[in-house]
Amino acid sequence: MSSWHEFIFMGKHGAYVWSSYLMTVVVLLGLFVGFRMMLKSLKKQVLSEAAAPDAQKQKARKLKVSQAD
Amino acid sequence: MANGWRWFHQLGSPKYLFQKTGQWLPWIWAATLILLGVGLYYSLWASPIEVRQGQGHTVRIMYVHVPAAALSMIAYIAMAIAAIVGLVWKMKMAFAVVRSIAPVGAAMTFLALFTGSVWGKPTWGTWWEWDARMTSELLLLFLYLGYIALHASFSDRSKADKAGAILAIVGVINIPIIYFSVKWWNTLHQGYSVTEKGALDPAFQTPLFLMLGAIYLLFAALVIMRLRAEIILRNQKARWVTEWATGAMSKRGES
Repeated sequence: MSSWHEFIFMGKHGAYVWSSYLMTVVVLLGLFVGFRMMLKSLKKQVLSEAAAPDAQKQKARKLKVSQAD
Repeated sequence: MANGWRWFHQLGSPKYLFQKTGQWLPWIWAATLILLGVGLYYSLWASPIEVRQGQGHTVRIMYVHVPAAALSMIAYIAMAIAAIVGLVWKMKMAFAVVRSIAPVGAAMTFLALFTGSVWGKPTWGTWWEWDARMTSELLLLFLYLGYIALHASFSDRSKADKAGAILAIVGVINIPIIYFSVKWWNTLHQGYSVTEKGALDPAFQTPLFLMLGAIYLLFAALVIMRLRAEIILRNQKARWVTEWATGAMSKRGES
């Protein structure tokens, strides 16, 4: 690379080179942000569950036993 | 060997896996960022352009295209191995790993297709060709998406895990087809350049290997992030999860 001009325009292929790198950054950054948000919202959910008084907590589902004929 | 087995069993414990990955993650990110910084410097600035085939600067697309394509296949193999571990040893965390690899593997496959297409236009004169390499790689993308859709279609998680695992294992047949496609068929896509000696000029090897290392690590970091979320998702009712959320775990130095 000999100049900033060459770096930006990449010969005459700037659009091809930069769109490849840009798409890579966008997709991988999207995954990073998405996974972070997922863990954060799960944490929030666990916290609100823990803060709820015992009476409001969902009871364990009872086993269904079919009646004998 | 005995230690190896114990470690393997410990990894099956959600709490242990969550804590260990939490300890590894900052180091993996640090190594990723360093390699990525150096790799991008070489691939976008300090490496020469291609003159023999007249590709010029488009050769720089290789430094994201090749790592993405390699990972798209390796990720699928890893998914199939984890699926086998899950089915054979009935290890629930292995299924969590399968589910965590899928979105990142799908992203890598998409990137391999996208950058390949963008690279193909200036060098081959076409965005897309239904040749064996590209068609089988597109099939790989559908396999990843199919796994995710199949997993989401069950309300019972253990059934979803098993059905998904079987799809992951069966789909692995596509990997050798992708890999050998350039040899078995007459493809527009070029042959091997990384694994074949002398095919790639040494000047292009430095940026390529740096970017391979960086993107492999980045892949590992993203899978671990997704896995940690998956572990919490599957163990919301466990007491250690509540302790983690309220911060009681980090106070005892366990996080």
